[in-house]
Amino acid sequence: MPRLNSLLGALAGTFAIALLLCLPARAELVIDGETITDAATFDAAKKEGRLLLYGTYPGDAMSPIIAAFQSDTGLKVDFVRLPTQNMFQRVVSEFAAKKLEADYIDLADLTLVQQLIDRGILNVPHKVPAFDRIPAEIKNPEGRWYGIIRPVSVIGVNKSRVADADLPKSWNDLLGSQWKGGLIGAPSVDAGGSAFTMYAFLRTKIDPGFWKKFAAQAPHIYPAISPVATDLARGEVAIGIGALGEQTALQIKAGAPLTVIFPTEGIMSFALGGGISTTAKNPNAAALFLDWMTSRRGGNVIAAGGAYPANATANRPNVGGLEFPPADQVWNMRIEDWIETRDAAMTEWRQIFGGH
Amino acid sequence: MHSSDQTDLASAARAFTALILFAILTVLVVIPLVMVGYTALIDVVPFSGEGPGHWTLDNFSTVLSPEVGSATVNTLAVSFVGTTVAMILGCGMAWLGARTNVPGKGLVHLSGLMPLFVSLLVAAVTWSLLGAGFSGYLNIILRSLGIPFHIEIRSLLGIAVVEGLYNAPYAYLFIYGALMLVHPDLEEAAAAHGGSLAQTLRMISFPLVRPALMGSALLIFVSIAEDFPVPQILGGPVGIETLSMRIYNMMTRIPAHPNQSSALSVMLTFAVWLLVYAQRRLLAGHDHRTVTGKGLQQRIIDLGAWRWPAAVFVWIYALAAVGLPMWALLESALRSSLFIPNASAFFDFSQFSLHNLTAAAQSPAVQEGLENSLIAATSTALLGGALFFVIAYVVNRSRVPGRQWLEYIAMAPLALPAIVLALGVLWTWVGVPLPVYGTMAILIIAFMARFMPQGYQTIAGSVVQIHDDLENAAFLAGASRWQTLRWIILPLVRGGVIASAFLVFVLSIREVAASLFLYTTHTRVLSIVLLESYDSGLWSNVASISLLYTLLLIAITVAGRRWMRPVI
Repeated sequence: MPRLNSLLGALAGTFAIALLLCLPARAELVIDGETITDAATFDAAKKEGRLLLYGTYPGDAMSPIIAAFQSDTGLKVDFVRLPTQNMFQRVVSEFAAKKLEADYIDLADLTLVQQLIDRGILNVPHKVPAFDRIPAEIKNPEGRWYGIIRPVSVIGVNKSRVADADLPKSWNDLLGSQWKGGLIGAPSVDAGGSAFTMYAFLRTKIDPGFWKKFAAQAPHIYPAISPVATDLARGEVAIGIGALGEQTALQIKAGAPLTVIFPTEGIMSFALGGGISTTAKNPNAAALFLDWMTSRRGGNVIAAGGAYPANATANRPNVGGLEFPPADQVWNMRIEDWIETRDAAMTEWRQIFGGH
Repeated sequence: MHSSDQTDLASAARAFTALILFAILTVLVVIPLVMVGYTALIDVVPFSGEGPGHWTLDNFSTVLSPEVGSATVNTLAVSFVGTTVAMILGCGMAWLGARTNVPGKGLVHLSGLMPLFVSLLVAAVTWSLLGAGFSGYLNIILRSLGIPFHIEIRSLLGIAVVEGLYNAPYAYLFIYGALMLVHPDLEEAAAAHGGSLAQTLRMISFPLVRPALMGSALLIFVSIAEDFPVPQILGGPVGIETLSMRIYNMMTRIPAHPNQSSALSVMLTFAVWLLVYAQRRLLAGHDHRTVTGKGLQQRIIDLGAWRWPAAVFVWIYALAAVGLPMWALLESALRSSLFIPNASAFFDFSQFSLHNLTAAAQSPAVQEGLENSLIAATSTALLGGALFFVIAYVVNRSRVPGRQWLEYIAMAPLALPAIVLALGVLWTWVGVPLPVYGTMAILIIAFMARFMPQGYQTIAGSVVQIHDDLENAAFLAGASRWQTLRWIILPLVRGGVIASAFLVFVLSIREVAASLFLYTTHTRVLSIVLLESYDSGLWSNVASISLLYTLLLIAITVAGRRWMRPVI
């Protein structure tokens, strides 16, 4: 019998080798029936084997996304995370010093993304397979950048300070006289892209006079978004507005008496714009990353973390039982409008709300 | 060898030593400073690919906005009140510890020093937990007790008090050291001539410790004025901005204004330099030495009925600076929800879990941060200790040309806010074709420059104490310069070098501001991991990391307590 066994073993081994040889040398990356990337890109990316991301999404929110990408593709990812302005300056300095090693770069401010394109730093046009499933305002027509992750601004309420009957339902409800005098916390327009797009939305979509009316409520203005979320959770303010959905969901899970309200007039998202670096050492890995991030599969992973993905057919965010509105009800600011209005709008905001 | 050849050789060696030292100090201190000044005078950002730009003075005029005006007022107010608080606490503790029969002297000494080893970032986090207007733990307790009073630590006064609490040890160290050296005969003579305690203090003791008072007050004023974490965490959420915050905000907000930020940095550095210069001038020309060869037996004043109130003062300080913050950290690290409805919830053990603490301890970011902190601090301490010793030796024990200038440059970072230094280091190294920028090396370089004054002075103090005779005797016996250094000087200053390296090690572990523009994901030190956690609003994580950070600093302090000596 031992001889038969070894014969069978040899046969099985030969068969396995034959099977491997018969397989196409190059294969597309397909997950759940969705073609994420074509065979040529996937093959070249696997040969590169690794990917260096320069990103701005907070590390703890980004790590599940990176983990899923690594396990789907087998690539090794290095992630350098800095706040948007620091990242912009670092990228620009490294590019000027011919030391930019990033394969992929994203920033949470589309005006700065455009500056990277103008300087030839983000200048690799790449049309992802899901190109047609991405809304026009969150992609560059040639594929130089995509709005890969889109956090939204909402209203958060601490129910220990607001009775159920008084819960605001709309942005306009925040202008009621019961909320005067530091009861509402809001980020300064200087807090970043999320704050800028929220204030742009409130003025262009809700009421041209919204800023002045809101400033008359004497809201508590914070230099960044996270202290708004923190003070809301502690009860230091009764209501908070801004991109605080994810942090608030975590606090609700931990037992804080909070609730998130998606106002009846709608919500807005702001896009983290990301693309392939001109100096990429692993350009195919970067292309694969963009393909994956904009796919339905990547989109579902992003949505599970509390932000809208680029792909319109992916799930909507759902964190800690909070169901977000469908993606087509979310307003996105066009990059052209952002660039055109930014400086004047920020100056005007500071005049209305005071220095900050 | 002919003797004139020997002289030539010796002077060539001296010139060579001077050249090397000047080169090192130029790279560490002068070029970063020049880069900040240069950026303040041009209209483009260095290494931005925007071309060479043009010379301009506009950055200085445009930066003078109403916001900078209010930031200046805030900075002055916080520094002035904070210094007053620190001086009252530090002097009071020092006097009680050095001169009175207050009960529990061990605790006086411990409370006087311990807050020095609490990170200011952690101090700010814990006082925000304790003293925020509505949700601060102390306010929740006051409300539950029905006391119609609340404190608001997130205010100018609050920032000043916190700065005062944690800067008091500098005053304690200086004044305690000075009081121990005041000859008791002077005070006894005053008492014998009928002077009351108050009169003796005012007319004898106080004037004798005046240099220590002024030195510590200035040091405290400058550290508060340039501090970043405390105003950022306590003032940021309520719209209070100080100059260091303004510099940071101008660099990091969109659109950024690095040129104006540099102009403001230049002005701040100049103001601090003026202060340091004024203090040197005030103290120059007076002889305050009272130490003679005779041994001192310190006179102990009997506080009588005031013994216990004095002890209570010490306990309250220890409670405010260390006890309450540790409780707040523990409370916050053990619970996951930030919301605390009332005082009884503090004892609701069903809310407690070790989950956050263990998660923080096991988090790769925290572990990597700890590793980076230890690497940066160890390297800074070793390289810095060696460099500071060579500088101290050359300045105080040689005839190397320009040695006084070495000292001026080594002391210059004292007048350079950490955040400004970091900016200069960034712009110095970003364009250099060496693998420094974006690595741990740039942090070590920044830390070495940042703590050069403290490290240098600690060693210089021991080098100066060694009498020339010892060296001369060695030379006469035929020893070379190297042999003298190896067998005479090094054994004698070993304590000073270790004390300096230890101090630089602890200060590097605590440092926040100098790392702000220099870290990347894989070179984050522990303080940056903590600041990022704060920025993401993960407070139970913030408290857990803070607790681990504080335990680490306490362990280091306890392990190295025998090298602690009054410094700076």
